Amino acid sequence: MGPLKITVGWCSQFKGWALYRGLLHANRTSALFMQQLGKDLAGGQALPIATLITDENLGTGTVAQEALAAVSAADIAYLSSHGRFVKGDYRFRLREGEWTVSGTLGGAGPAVLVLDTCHLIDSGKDFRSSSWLRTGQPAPAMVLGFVGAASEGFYSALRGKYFAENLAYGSTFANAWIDAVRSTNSSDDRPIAVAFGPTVQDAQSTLDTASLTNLPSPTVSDSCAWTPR
Amino acid sequence: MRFTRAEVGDWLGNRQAQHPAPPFLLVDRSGADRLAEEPAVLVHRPSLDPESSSSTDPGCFRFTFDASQLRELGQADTDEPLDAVAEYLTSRWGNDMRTIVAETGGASGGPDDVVPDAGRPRSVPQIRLPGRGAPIDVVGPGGHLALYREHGQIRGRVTMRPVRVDAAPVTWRPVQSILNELAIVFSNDAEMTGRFGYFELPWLERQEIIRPVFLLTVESHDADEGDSRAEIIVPATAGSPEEAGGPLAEDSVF
Repeated sequence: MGPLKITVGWCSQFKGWALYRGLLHANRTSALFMQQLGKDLAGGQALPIATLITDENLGTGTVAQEALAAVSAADIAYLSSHGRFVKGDYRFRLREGEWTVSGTLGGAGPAVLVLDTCHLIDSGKDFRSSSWLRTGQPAPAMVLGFVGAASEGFYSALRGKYFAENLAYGSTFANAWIDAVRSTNSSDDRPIAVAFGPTVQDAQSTLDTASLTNLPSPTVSDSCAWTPR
Repeated sequence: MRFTRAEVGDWLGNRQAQHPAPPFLLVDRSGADRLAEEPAVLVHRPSLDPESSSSTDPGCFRFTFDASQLRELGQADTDEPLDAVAEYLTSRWGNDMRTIVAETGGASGGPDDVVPDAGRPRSVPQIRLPGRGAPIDVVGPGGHLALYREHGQIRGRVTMRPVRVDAAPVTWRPVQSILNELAIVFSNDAEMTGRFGYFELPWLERQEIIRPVFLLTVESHDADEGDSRAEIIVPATAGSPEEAGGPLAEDSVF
């Protein structure tokens, strides 16, 4: 296995928005993830190769092709910003405009996409009625995020570090993410791990077993499995 | 407690008026790590500094549940529901001073399963100070035990540092001083939830002092811009001679 390819990125300030809606710690979650993973994997295998994309470089009005390429080329992509779930679509907030993520990734990669934003999905919704699922649509093997709101703060931002540490320990991507959020959160944030695949059984298998040493492959979003229920 | 920006000062003031300022707690490194001596678990404690032998704080580690030890103790094995294992550990690891709250791994859902509402509120771990009245909540990730199934094992993680009460006198920080710090992060349309308690850091962090804080969760909603949720942690008291080494001494608003 060659070196792990990681792409991290964030949007911290948003054009035309009130200043208080900026994300002071948007960089911290994804940067700590990269920093900790590099530390944990040093000496054991080839150091991860990291690509960084920030703020306006992620795109203005729509996701930039260069950013899309960097995310697609990664094994793991960790992105932080605002997010919202509107009319069945998850939308990642760019510095200006939004990126409707589903359907734009997964042909080449990433294997695992972390969307450290609010509202990957909301309570009371199901994935079948969202744009996350479409027959034949390319998708990452897994998407990790939050149900509803996600806290922004100096200490809750440690979840990036703890996610990396859990992965290096050997946890599955699902458990690593869920425990990372719970280990660092002081509010009622609700982490969620979603795996995609041709069938529910395929997705469930990915959810239960995918890890750094059992890296999943991009797939199609015909079906999904998610946790915690 | 939920309140608006205008009500924050009253909430802070009422809390201070109704209760004496609680003391600082010092993480006790003088004795053995009682939790890590539990025979039924295999402890994994990563090194915090590869250049030295320092590792995680006492009471802070990962563990794997040892099924053979569990059977020797007359308990059921790892096929038991996680809740039963959690109950066993919380009864062993809680003590007169600290209660511990367990979280167990959740089941999975399929594409048609509706994402549930949050459901019942999480229990809150507490610290009971001898001779000092009602127990005080632990806000932040401290006081928790997590359990989940993985790779055919029961794995877990605990965050519960042993503490002793600092004898130094403390006072409440002036309300206006706290409001001045919070002013830079407040907006007129924000809704806030406020909690008071001891703030214990996540398990991989080094912590010397566990101090009382006001924890505000500030949420704003906008039809076009979406939601935001910020956590702001403000020291509630002042006066410890060891304050200079505390985790929140310099950066008081997060």
